[in-house]
Amino acid sequence: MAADRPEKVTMRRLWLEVLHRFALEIVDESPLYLTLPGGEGKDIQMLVEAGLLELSETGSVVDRHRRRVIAVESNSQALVSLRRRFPGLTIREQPFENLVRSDSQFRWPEGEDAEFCKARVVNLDLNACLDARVDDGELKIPIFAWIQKLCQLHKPKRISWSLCLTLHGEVHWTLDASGMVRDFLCENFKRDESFASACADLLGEEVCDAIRRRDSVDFAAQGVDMQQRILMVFVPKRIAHTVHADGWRVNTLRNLRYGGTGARAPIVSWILDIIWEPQAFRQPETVYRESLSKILVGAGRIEENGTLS
Amino acid sequence: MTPLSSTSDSSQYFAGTIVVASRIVDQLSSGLYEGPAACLKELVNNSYDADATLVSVFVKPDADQVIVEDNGVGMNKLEFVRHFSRISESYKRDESDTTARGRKKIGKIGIGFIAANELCDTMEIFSTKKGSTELLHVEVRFDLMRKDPAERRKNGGDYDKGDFEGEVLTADSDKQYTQVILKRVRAPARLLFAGDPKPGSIAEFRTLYGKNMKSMAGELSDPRLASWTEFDTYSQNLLRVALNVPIAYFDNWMPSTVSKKASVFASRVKKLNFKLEYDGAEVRKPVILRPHTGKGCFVSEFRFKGKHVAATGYFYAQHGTIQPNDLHGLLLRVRGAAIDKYDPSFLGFPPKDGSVIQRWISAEVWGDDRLEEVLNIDRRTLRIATPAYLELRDAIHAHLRTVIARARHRLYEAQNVKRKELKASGALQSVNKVITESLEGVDRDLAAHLVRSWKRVAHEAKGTPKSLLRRYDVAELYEIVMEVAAEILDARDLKQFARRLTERLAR
Repeated sequence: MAADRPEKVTMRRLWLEVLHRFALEIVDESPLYLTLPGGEGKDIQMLVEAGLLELSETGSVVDRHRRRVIAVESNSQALVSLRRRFPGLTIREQPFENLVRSDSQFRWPEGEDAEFCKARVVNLDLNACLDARVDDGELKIPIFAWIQKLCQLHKPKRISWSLCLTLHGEVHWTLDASGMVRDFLCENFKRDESFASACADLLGEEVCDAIRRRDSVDFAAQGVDMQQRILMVFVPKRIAHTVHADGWRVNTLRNLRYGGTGARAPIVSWILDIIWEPQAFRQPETVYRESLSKILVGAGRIEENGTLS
Repeated sequence: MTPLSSTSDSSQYFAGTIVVASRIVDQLSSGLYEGPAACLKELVNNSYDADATLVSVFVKPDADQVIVEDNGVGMNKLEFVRHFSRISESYKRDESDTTARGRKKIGKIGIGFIAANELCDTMEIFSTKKGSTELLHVEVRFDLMRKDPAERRKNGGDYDKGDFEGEVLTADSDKQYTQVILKRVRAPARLLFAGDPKPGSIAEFRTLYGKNMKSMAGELSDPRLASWTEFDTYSQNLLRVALNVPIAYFDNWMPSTVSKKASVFASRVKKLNFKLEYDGAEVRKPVILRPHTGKGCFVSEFRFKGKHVAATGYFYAQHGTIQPNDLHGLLLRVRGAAIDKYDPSFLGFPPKDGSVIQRWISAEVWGDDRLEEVLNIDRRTLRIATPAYLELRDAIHAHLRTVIARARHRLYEAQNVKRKELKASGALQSVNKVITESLEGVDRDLAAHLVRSWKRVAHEAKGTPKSLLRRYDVAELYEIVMEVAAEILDARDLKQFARRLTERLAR
């Protein structure tokens, strides 16, 4: 079963480290963890075993922890399965996109949904590729719009939070979209030489040079391994870029790829600390550069046996 | 969920309308059930009729969805369409009155699922049968059912009562189950199911949420529990559903000294092998009968075979009011399912006949299938002018009279005798003390003799010697003492004695 892959077990262990850190800070009934757990809810089971989510003598979530973990699940049968495993768990039956009210800046979650979006750890374990399209000359990536909304929702509390993001490690971008990703990376190579150098280590000189020269690059035509690497560079970079002007510094704790060999689906996974940084309003460039410099520090691969390299 | 109409294989897509017979449409529109538990128990009873051995209900934390999942035989597209094509037809018992497991079916006119209409706007169903790879997936839209009657009217005075869309997906052939998901649960029902206290309320309620069977039994047998209303509404709903459906009793639900006569009913329901879980907790029939400490109880078996109906059951009586008061009265059952809740009036028994002792009795009576004909469509009220009802009512009243008489004799009067015995024993000790203190220094033998005499009196009276418990007023006491004194004292001593006695008594 895919959920039992050693790589996934390793990822869950890394998520737990983050959760432990924030669990100590939770004193009221505010949500700790917003997740897309699937019908098996293995990450929730992990919280239970770690003592971060308390169950009653019948195995149901105790009343005082009913808002500690919020599951988002749009599949009705997966929802029933999750309910069976964790009676009393708060589950929102909708796609995550609906919870944040799509990528529109005119529609926002309200009431409890808004509170849930302010969880200290948000785990977007998405069973999807990074959808990027060009619209009116702009690169539109819905997932980044959701993340930007999450930042906006966290803003009034001004407390740091963590984003765990997992995507399929393949890209299916059009040439236009690939070109805009290339231009974006090229500008950032110029802006920060250390970032460019780290990218060269990860992507290889040939690809980096092509990006620098703004040659036509079709990322979708690259091998699976290269597609994973491109995502490792682009995703945290773009997130840092998207949210820094709102007062957030992004610290890329983990930037990992796994799978992609044999029948194992290629996956890329990140753990990003999104830290409230008051000086970001006055010196956004400094904060952004700081985010940029750390993007590839935690880059690595999880081997088939689950070890980190 | 993927919209049903956009299913990739259009041959697997189907849709339709639900037609409700005009004879019940008015009752449906005005509300058939008195509360959410009454609706929910219909769905649980449906699982029973599907031969499920386990039905799991999930409502917490918010009851924004209510899920009823069972491991029963499931249904396929054809069965679904047939069931829903016309509510009020007796399709359920077309082929057989009993299930493959031998259970007598509870549902009759097919309104079980329509009960869900009172709880929510949308109902989603997944169901599959063992040996089949078909997974039925249907969405029933109750919100459409509530359209204006003129819009819903169809030929022949019937109404369209709602639309459904369905598709057939793929399932493992070795599985069977039905999952009913009530969505967009109406706000009042949601609050009651979830058990949230009213905003701003500081009242503390007991709850059964998260309690295992042992803890639940402990809560329900707590002598301080006067009523189920001490629980939050979540627990009250749980208890009402559990009371209604054919699940097993708790172990030791009745004192072992009297349980023999009721054990046949407990083992009969246990044999049905039907288990209910509510948010992960196994729930048993919430009937735990415990006499007050040191007080007696008994069970009287009820057997009746009349011309129009037959019934069996038990009457449990104890010294003192039954607690919680929700168990006080009579609970009628047909095919294992309760008709509403305990009726404290015992079907209109004269309240003056043993009014106190009526509150000491808790009874359950199982009617035969003929009682079913007496049930109204809501399955909680009875047509009280029918011969079967009248016959059963009279039989129950006659039996209740004998139970009250027995309770009066065995519990109330026996308790009285016990009280007198205790009092006499205390009086005897006091008399002995007086004798000993008065005569110890004068004549020990006489003191011992007098003590023995009183003991003999007590023994011969078999525990309640009237002479020890007799009460005297001053005149009577004066007369007795003066008579004895006059017999043994000379005139001088008598005068002195009378003076002293008068002074003493007149203080």
